[in-house]
Amino acid sequence: MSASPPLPISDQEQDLVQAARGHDMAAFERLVRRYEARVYRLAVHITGNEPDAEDVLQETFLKAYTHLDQFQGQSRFYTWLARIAINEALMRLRKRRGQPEVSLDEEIEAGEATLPRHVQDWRPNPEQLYAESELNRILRGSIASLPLHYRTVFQLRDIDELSTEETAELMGISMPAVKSRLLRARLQLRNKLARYFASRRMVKP
Amino acid sequence: MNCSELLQNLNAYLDDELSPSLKGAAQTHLSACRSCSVVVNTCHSTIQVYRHQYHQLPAFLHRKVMDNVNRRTRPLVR
Ligand SMILES: [Zn+2]
Repeated sequence: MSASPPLPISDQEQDLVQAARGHDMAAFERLVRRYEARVYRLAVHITGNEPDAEDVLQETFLKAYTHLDQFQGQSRFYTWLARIAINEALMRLRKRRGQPEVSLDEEIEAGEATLPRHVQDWRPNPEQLYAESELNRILRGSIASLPLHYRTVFQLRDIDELSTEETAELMGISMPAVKSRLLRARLQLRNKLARYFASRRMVKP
Repeated sequence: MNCSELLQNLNAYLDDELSPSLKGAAQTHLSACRSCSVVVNTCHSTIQVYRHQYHQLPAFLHRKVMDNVNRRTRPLVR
Protein backbone atom coordinates (compact mmCIF):
# COMPACT_ATOMS: atom_id res chain seq x y z
CA MET A 1 0.00 0.00 0.00
CA SER A 2 1.44 3.35 -0.97
CA ALA A 3 1.38 6.28 1.37
CA SER A 4 -1.45 8.67 0.64
CA PRO A 5 -0.43 12.20 -0.29
CA PRO A 6 -0.64 14.75 2.51
CA LEU A 7 -4.00 16.46 2.70
CA PRO A 8 -3.93 20.08 1.61
CA ILE A 9 -5.49 21.09 4.90
CA SER A 10 -3.46 21.46 8.09
CA ASP A 11 -4.18 19.31 11.12
CA GLN A 12 -5.07 22.34 13.14
CA GLU A 13 -7.55 23.50 10.55
CA GLN A 14 -8.98 20.02 10.26
CA ASP A 15 -9.51 20.08 14.04
CA LEU A 16 -11.32 23.39 13.81
CA VAL A 17 -13.57 22.07 11.05
CA GLN A 18 -14.27 18.94 13.04
CA ALA A 19 -15.17 20.94 16.14
CA ALA A 20 -17.35 23.34 14.14
CA ARG A 21 -19.25 20.39 12.71
CA GLY A 22 -20.10 19.51 16.29
CA HIS A 23 -21.59 23.02 16.65
CA ASP A 24 -18.61 24.44 18.51
CA MET A 25 -19.21 28.09 17.67
CA ALA A 26 -15.86 29.24 19.06
CA ALA A 27 -14.09 26.93 16.62
CA PHE A 28 -16.26 28.12 13.76
CA GLU A 29 -15.58 31.73 14.67
CA ARG A 30 -11.83 31.06 14.43
CA LEU A 31 -12.32 29.78 10.91
CA VAL A 32 -14.37 32.87 10.12
CA ARG A 33 -11.67 35.18 11.45
CA ARG A 34 -9.05 33.38 9.45
CA TYR A 35 -10.82 33.80 6.12
CA GLU A 36 -13.43 36.57 6.33
CA ALA A 37 -11.24 39.37 4.94
CA ARG A 38 -10.22 37.26 1.95
CA VAL A 39 -13.80 36.22 1.25
CA TYR A 40 -14.95 39.83 1.52
CA ARG A 41 -12.24 41.07 -0.83
CA LEU A 42 -13.17 38.41 -3.36
CA ALA A 43 -16.84 39.37 -3.02
CA VAL A 44 -16.13 43.08 -3.54
CA HIS A 45 -14.05 42.37 -6.63
CA ILE A 46 -16.54 39.99 -8.24
CA THR A 47 -19.78 41.83 -7.41
CA GLY A 48 -18.25 45.29 -7.79
CA ASN A 49 -20.16 46.82 -4.90
CA GLU A 50 -20.14 46.73 -1.12
CA PRO A 51 -23.80 45.99 -0.32
CA ASP A 52 -23.75 42.87 -2.49
CA ALA A 53 -20.35 41.92 -1.11
CA GLU A 54 -21.74 42.10 2.44
CA ASP A 55 -24.57 39.77 1.49
CA VAL A 56 -22.17 37.39 -0.20
CA LEU A 57 -19.95 37.39 2.88
CA GLN A 58 -22.83 36.56 5.22
CA GLU A 59 -24.36 33.90 2.99
CA THR A 60 -20.99 32.27 2.35
CA PHE A 61 -20.29 31.67 6.01
CA LEU A 62 -23.86 30.63 6.72
CA LYS A 63 -23.68 28.05 3.92
CA ALA A 64 -20.24 26.99 5.03
CA TYR A 65 -21.53 26.36 8.52
CA THR A 66 -24.59 24.42 7.42
CA HIS A 67 -22.68 22.42 4.78
CA LEU A 68 -19.50 21.68 6.69
CA ASP A 69 -20.22 17.97 6.31
CA GLN A 70 -19.62 18.33 2.60
CA PHE A 71 -16.10 19.64 3.09
CA GLN A 72 -13.97 16.58 2.54
CA GLY A 73 -10.56 18.05 3.26
CA GLN A 74 -9.42 17.19 -0.27
CA SER A 75 -9.03 20.84 -1.18
CA ARG A 76 -7.85 23.76 0.85
CA PHE A 77 -10.53 25.22 3.07
CA TYR A 78 -10.24 28.61 1.40
CA THR A 79 -10.76 27.04 -2.04
CA TRP A 80 -13.95 25.45 -0.74
CA LEU A 81 -15.12 28.80 0.68
CA ALA A 82 -14.21 30.63 -2.53
CA ARG A 83 -16.40 28.28 -4.55
CA ILE A 84 -19.38 29.06 -2.33
CA ALA A 85 -18.63 32.80 -2.41
CA ILE A 86 -18.34 32.89 -6.21
CA ASN A 87 -21.64 31.11 -6.63
CA GLU A 88 -23.28 33.58 -4.26
CA ALA A 89 -21.72 36.49 -6.14
CA LEU A 90 -22.92 35.15 -9.49
CA MET A 91 -26.45 34.85 -8.13
CA ARG A 92 -26.40 38.48 -7.10
CA LEU A 93 -24.99 39.63 -10.43
CA ARG A 94 -27.81 37.80 -12.21
CA LYS A 95 -30.42 39.44 -10.01
CA ARG A 96 -28.92 42.87 -10.35
CA ARG A 97 -28.55 42.77 -14.11
CA GLY A 98 -31.48 40.54 -14.88
CA GLN A 99 -29.04 38.43 -16.86
CA PRO A 100 -29.75 34.74 -16.46
CA GLU A 101 -26.71 33.91 -18.58
CA VAL A 102 -24.05 35.20 -16.19
CA SER A 103 -21.65 32.29 -16.02
CA LEU A 104 -17.96 31.59 -15.80
CA ASP A 105 -17.60 29.40 -18.87
CA GLU A 106 -18.64 31.89 -21.53
CA GLU A 107 -16.48 31.97 -24.62
CA ILE A 108 -13.62 34.39 -24.69
CA GLU A 109 -14.28 36.90 -27.39
CA ALA A 110 -11.65 36.86 -30.07
CA GLY A 111 -9.53 39.94 -30.37
CA GLU A 112 -6.47 41.80 -29.34
CA ALA A 113 -4.85 41.45 -26.01
CA THR A 114 -4.64 45.24 -25.67
CA LEU A 115 -0.97 45.98 -25.60
CA PRO A 116 -0.30 49.67 -26.14
CA ARG A 117 3.39 50.38 -26.08
CA HIS A 118 3.26 53.73 -24.37
CA VAL A 119 2.56 52.83 -20.79
CA GLN A 120 4.96 54.41 -18.35
CA ASP A 121 6.78 52.26 -15.87
CA TRP A 122 5.79 52.45 -12.21
CA ARG A 123 6.25 50.58 -8.96
CA PRO A 124 4.10 50.52 -5.86
CA ASN A 125 5.45 52.26 -2.82
CA PRO A 126 4.10 50.35 0.19
CA GLU A 127 4.26 53.02 2.89
CA GLN A 128 2.47 55.64 0.87
CA LEU A 129 0.00 53.40 -0.76
CA TYR A 130 -1.52 50.65 1.19
CA ALA A 131 -3.50 52.63 3.68
CA GLU A 132 -4.83 54.94 1.01
CA SER A 133 -8.51 54.54 0.60
CA GLU A 134 -8.31 56.25 -2.76
CA LEU A 135 -5.99 53.55 -4.01
CA ASN A 136 -8.35 50.89 -2.71
CA ARG A 137 -11.15 52.55 -4.62
CA ILE A 138 -9.09 52.59 -7.81
CA LEU A 139 -8.08 48.97 -7.40
CA ARG A 140 -11.65 47.86 -6.77
CA GLY A 141 -13.04 49.93 -9.62
CA SER A 142 -10.41 48.69 -12.06
CA ILE A 143 -10.90 45.00 -11.41
CA ALA A 144 -14.68 45.35 -11.27
CA SER A 145 -14.63 46.88 -14.76
CA LEU A 146 -13.03 43.77 -16.28
CA PRO A 147 -15.32 41.15 -17.84
CA LEU A 148 -16.55 38.66 -15.23
CA HIS A 149 -14.51 35.71 -16.46
CA TYR A 150 -11.32 37.80 -16.54
CA ARG A 151 -11.69 39.31 -13.10
CA THR A 152 -12.57 35.95 -11.55
CA VAL A 153 -9.42 34.35 -12.94
CA PHE A 154 -7.28 37.28 -11.82
CA GLN A 155 -8.85 37.15 -8.36
CA LEU A 156 -8.24 33.45 -7.88
CA ARG A 157 -4.84 33.13 -9.54
CA ASP A 158 -3.09 36.40 -8.77
CA ILE A 159 -4.75 37.71 -5.63
CA ASP A 160 -5.71 34.52 -3.82
CA GLU A 161 -2.73 32.66 -5.28
CA LEU A 162 -4.59 29.50 -6.23
CA SER A 163 -2.85 27.26 -8.76
CA THR A 164 -3.92 27.09 -12.40
CA GLU A 165 -5.35 23.66 -11.69
CA GLU A 166 -7.34 24.76 -8.64
CA THR A 167 -8.69 27.74 -10.55
CA ALA A 168 -9.71 25.60 -13.53
CA GLU A 169 -11.44 23.13 -11.27
CA LEU A 170 -13.24 25.76 -9.29
CA MET A 171 -14.46 27.64 -12.36
CA GLY A 172 -15.24 24.55 -14.38
CA ILE A 173 -13.00 25.57 -17.29
CA SER A 174 -9.84 24.13 -18.85
CA MET A 175 -6.32 25.02 -17.75
CA PRO A 176 -5.49 26.63 -21.13
CA ALA A 177 -8.61 28.79 -20.70
CA VAL A 178 -7.39 29.88 -17.28
CA LYS A 179 -4.03 30.83 -18.76
CA SER A 180 -5.38 32.81 -21.68
CA ARG A 181 -7.90 34.66 -19.51
CA LEU A 182 -5.23 35.42 -16.96
CA LEU A 183 -2.98 36.94 -19.61
CA ARG A 184 -5.77 39.19 -20.86
CA ALA A 185 -6.80 40.13 -17.35
CA ARG A 186 -3.24 41.05 -16.41
CA LEU A 187 -2.71 43.15 -19.52
CA GLN A 188 -6.03 44.96 -19.27
CA LEU A 189 -5.65 45.64 -15.58
CA ARG A 190 -2.12 46.88 -16.05
CA ASN A 191 -3.37 49.34 -18.66
CA LYS A 192 -6.03 50.64 -16.30
CA LEU A 193 -3.62 51.04 -13.38
CA ALA A 194 -0.90 52.59 -15.52
CA ARG A 195 -3.22 55.47 -16.31
CA TYR A 196 -3.74 56.08 -12.62
CA PHE A 197 -0.17 55.66 -11.47
CA ALA A 198 1.29 57.69 -14.30
CA SER A 199 -1.01 60.58 -13.46
CA ARG A 200 -0.12 60.29 -9.77
CA ARG A 201 3.60 60.66 -10.44
CA MET A 202 4.43 57.32 -8.86
CA VAL A 203 6.48 56.67 -11.92
CA LYS A 204 9.86 55.13 -11.60
CA PRO A 205 12.57 57.58 -12.71
CA MET B 1 13.38 35.66 -28.61
CA ASN B 2 11.49 38.54 -30.21
CA CYS B 3 8.70 40.75 -28.86
CA SER B 4 5.81 38.52 -29.86
CA GLU B 5 7.51 35.43 -28.49
CA LEU B 6 8.03 37.28 -25.27
CA LEU B 7 4.35 38.12 -25.11
CA GLN B 8 3.49 34.46 -25.72
CA ASN B 9 5.64 33.54 -22.74
CA LEU B 10 4.67 36.49 -20.57
CA ASN B 11 2.48 34.57 -18.12
CA ALA B 12 5.03 31.83 -17.64
CA TYR B 13 7.77 34.41 -17.23
CA LEU B 14 5.79 36.34 -14.61
CA ASP B 15 4.98 33.12 -12.77
CA ASP B 16 8.58 31.92 -13.06
CA GLU B 17 7.50 28.78 -14.85
CA LEU B 18 9.81 28.98 -17.86
CA SER B 19 12.50 26.41 -18.51
CA PRO B 20 16.01 27.73 -17.77
CA SER B 21 16.81 28.13 -21.47
CA LEU B 22 13.60 30.02 -22.29
CA LYS B 23 14.02 32.13 -19.19
CA GLY B 24 17.52 33.04 -20.27
CA ALA B 25 16.29 33.96 -23.74
CA ALA B 26 13.54 36.10 -22.22
CA GLN B 27 16.02 37.89 -19.97
CA THR B 28 18.33 38.58 -22.89
CA HIS B 29 15.44 40.07 -24.84
CA LEU B 30 14.27 42.12 -21.85
CA SER B 31 17.68 43.62 -21.23
CA ALA B 32 17.68 44.92 -24.81
CA CYS B 33 14.01 45.82 -25.28
CA ARG B 34 12.65 48.70 -23.26
CA SER B 35 9.01 48.30 -24.28
CA CYS B 36 8.85 44.63 -23.30
CA SER B 37 10.56 45.28 -20.00
CA VAL B 38 7.98 47.98 -19.23
CA VAL B 39 5.23 45.47 -19.99
CA VAL B 40 6.78 42.91 -17.66
CA ASN B 41 7.43 45.44 -14.89
CA THR B 42 3.98 46.99 -14.96
CA CYS B 43 2.27 43.58 -15.04
CA HIS B 44 4.37 42.57 -12.08
CA SER B 45 3.54 45.80 -10.24
CA THR B 46 -0.16 45.31 -10.97
CA ILE B 47 -0.14 41.85 -9.44
CA GLN B 48 1.85 43.01 -6.42
CA VAL B 49 -0.34 45.99 -5.68
CA TYR B 50 -3.46 43.80 -5.69
CA ARG B 51 -1.88 41.04 -3.70
CA HIS B 52 -0.78 43.40 -0.95
CA GLN B 53 -3.84 45.58 -1.01
CA TYR B 54 -4.72 46.54 2.49
CA HIS B 55 -7.71 44.60 3.65
CA GLN B 56 -9.14 43.94 7.02
CA LEU B 57 -12.73 43.32 7.81
CA PRO B 58 -14.38 46.02 9.92
CA ALA B 59 -15.45 44.64 13.30
CA PHE B 60 -19.12 45.35 12.63
CA LEU B 61 -19.03 43.09 9.58
CA HIS B 62 -17.50 40.28 11.56
CA ARG B 63 -20.32 40.59 14.10
CA LYS B 64 -22.90 40.57 11.31
CA VAL B 65 -21.46 37.35 9.95
CA MET B 66 -21.57 35.64 13.33
CA ASP B 67 -25.01 37.01 14.24
CA ASN B 68 -26.37 35.80 10.93
CA VAL B 69 -25.06 32.28 11.49
CA ASN B 70 -26.30 32.19 15.07
CA ARG B 71 -29.73 33.55 14.23
CA ARG B 72 -30.38 31.33 11.26
CA THR B 73 -29.09 28.09 12.66
CA ARG B 74 -30.57 28.35 16.15
CA PRO B 75 -33.17 25.68 16.74
CA LEU B 76 -36.64 27.19 17.03
CA VAL B 77 -37.73 27.38 20.62
CA ARG B 78 -41.37 27.60 21.51
ZN1 LIG C 1 10.44 43.32 -26.99
